[in-house]
Amino acid sequence: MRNFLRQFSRDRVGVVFGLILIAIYIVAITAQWIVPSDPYKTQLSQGMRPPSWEHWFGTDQFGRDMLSRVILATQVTAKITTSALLFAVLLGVPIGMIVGYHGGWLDEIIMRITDIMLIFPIIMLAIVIVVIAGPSERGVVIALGMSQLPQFIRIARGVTLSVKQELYVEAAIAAGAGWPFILRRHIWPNISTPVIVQATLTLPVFVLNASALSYLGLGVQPPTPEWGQMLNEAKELLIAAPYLIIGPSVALFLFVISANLLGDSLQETLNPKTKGQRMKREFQKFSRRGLKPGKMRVERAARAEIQR
Amino acid sequence: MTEDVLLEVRGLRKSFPIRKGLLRRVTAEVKAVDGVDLTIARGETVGLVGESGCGKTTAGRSILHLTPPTGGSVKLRTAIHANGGPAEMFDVTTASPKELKLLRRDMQIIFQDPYSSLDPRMTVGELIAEPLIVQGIGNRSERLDRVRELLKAVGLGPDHIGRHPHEFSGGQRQRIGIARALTFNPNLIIADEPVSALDVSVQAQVINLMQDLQSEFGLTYLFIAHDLSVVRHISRRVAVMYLGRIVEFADTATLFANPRHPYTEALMSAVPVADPDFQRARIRLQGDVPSPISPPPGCPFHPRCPYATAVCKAEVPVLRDFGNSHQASCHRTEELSLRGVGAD
Repeated sequence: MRNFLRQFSRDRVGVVFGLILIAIYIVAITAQWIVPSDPYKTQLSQGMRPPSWEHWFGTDQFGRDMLSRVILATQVTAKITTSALLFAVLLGVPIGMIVGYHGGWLDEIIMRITDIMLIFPIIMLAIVIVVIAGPSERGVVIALGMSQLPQFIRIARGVTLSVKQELYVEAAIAAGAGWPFILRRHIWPNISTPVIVQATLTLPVFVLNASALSYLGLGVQPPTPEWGQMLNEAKELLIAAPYLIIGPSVALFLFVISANLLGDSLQETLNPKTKGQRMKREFQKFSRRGLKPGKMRVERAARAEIQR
Repeated sequence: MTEDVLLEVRGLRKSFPIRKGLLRRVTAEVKAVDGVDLTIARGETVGLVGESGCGKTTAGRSILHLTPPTGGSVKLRTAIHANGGPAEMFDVTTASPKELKLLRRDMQIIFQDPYSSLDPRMTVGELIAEPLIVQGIGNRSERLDRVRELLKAVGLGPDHIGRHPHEFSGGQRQRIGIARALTFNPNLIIADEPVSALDVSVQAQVINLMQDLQSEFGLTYLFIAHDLSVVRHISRRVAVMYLGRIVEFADTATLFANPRHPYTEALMSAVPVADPDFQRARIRLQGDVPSPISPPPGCPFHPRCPYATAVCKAEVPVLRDFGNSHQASCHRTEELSLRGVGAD
C-alpha cells in the first residue's frame, strides 16, 4: 500500500485529477450547506440574468440561481452514479466469482445472459429498464447498474478462472478449505485491483448516461436539478440565454474527465503489465512543457536532422 | 504384510473425458490412472516412479481426493470416527464433505513447485496457519505458537513469520510447504516430486529434512518422483508406473538389482553414474509414450519393448507376485534375464 502511494504520487495527472474528483465529492456531500442560495426558490423578477458576482452562472427563466442548482445537481449525480456503481460491483463481483469458480451449467447460463446484455447499447438497455422501473432516481440507479453488471461479472469471472488453477488454491483444498474460504482468501485479493480500476473507469460512463437519461426526460424529474436535465432546459433558451449551459457543462466535463484520467492512472500504477496509455502520455507532455504533441515530434525530427 | 497397513488403494482409476462439438459430447476419455493397487505400511516410504505423463501425479491427487477418482477405493487408517478408540480403515472415496475435511488432517501433500504452491500475497505466518484456520483450530496466539513450532521443525526461524514467499529461496519455500503439510501431524504425506524443482545441492538438504521429520514424527511417505537416484535413496519400496498402471512393485534393493519388467530395466539404464569414464549400456526406448486416450492392445509397453513377442500384442499382462512381495506385469519375465544396476 505504501509502495502504491509512492508510485502513484509520481503520476501528476492522476494526483491532480484525483484531487479534483475528491473535491467534487466533498461538494456533493456538503451541497446543502454550501449553496449560496436556495436552488428551488423561484424569483420571476430575477429571471434569465447573465453571470454576475451575485449569480456566477446566471439565473434561469424562473430566477433560480444556477450555481446553487449545479451544486445540488452534483449531489444528485454523485448519489445516483455511486449507488449504481455499488449495485454493479456488489452484485457483479460475487456472481462472477461464484460462477467462475464452480463452472458448469450455471456458468454457461450466466455468461450467455451477460453476452446478450452486452449486445445492446448501454443507453438502450437503460431506457428499457427505466421504462419498466419508471422515471425516478431509483430507476436510473437500477438501469445504470444493470447496464454495467456484465462487465463486473466478466472481470471477476476471468480472474477467478485463472487464479483457481494456481497450486496454492489446491494447497488450500488439501488443507480442507471450502469454496467460500478460497474465494475470500485467495481469489478476492487478486480481483480487487482490476475491479477498482474498472469502477473508476465506469463512473464517468455512469455520469454521462445519467445525464443522457435525464436529458431525455427519463431520469431525474424536475424540479430536482440534474446536469443533463438542466442542459435539456437550457437548450430551449439557447438563443435567449446561452450562459445557462455553462454551469452544468463545466461540472459534467470536470467530473467525467477527472474520473476518466484517475482511472487511467490507477490502471497504470496498479498493473505493471499495461504500457502507458498513449493518450495520457501525450497529455502529460502537453501539460508539462506547454507544447502540443505534434509540435514535439517536429522538434525531435529537427534535432535529429541537425545531428546528422 | 505383517506391519500394520496405513493406506490401501484398490483398482484406482481416474479418467478425464474429452468433449467435442456443440453439444459437448464425450468423444473419448484419457485414462490417466487405470487400475492402480498400492499398499503402504505405517512409517515406510514408498517411491512411485515413471516418466512424464504416466499418471503418477494424478494417482497421488486421486488418493488424496483432490481430484475425485473415477473408480476404485482408497482406504486410509484414521481415527476420525473412532472417538478415542483405535484407528480404523476408512474409505476416502466415499467420505462426505464433512468427513473429508477431517480426513485432510490425516493426509497431506507436498507440492512439486514451491513457487506457485504458496500464495504470494500471504506471509509465511499466514501460510502455515492457513490449515489451522481452515479447520477452525485454536485462537490467534495458539496458532502462532504452532507456527513457531513448525518453523523450527523445518529449520526456519520465528523471525521468518512476517515475510512473504518471494523473499525466500526455492529450498526455503519447500520447507514452508513441508511445514504446512506437517500442521496436524498427518499419518500420510504424499510428496509430489518435492525436490525436482530444486537445485541438486538443495535437493539433498530437503531430502534429509524429510527423512529427519519421518523418524521424528513417524510419517509415512508416498514419494512421487522421476529421479531414480533420489527415490532409491529415500524409499523402502518402489512402484514403477507406465501409462496409468503399476508395472512393477518391489523392495528398493530388489527392484534395482533384479528388475522383472523391461520398462524398469530401461529406466535403470538411464540413471547417470557419477564417473565420467563409466559407460553404462543404455537401453534406448523407441518411440513415444502411447496416447492414454487409446492405449495399445495387449501389454501397454509392447510397442516400445525390445523383447516384445506376439503374446505381448494380444494379451494384457496382469501384475503377478514373484515372492518377497515382488510384483511385475510382464508375460516373458521368466524367460528374460534383465539387467539391474549394482550398488554403485
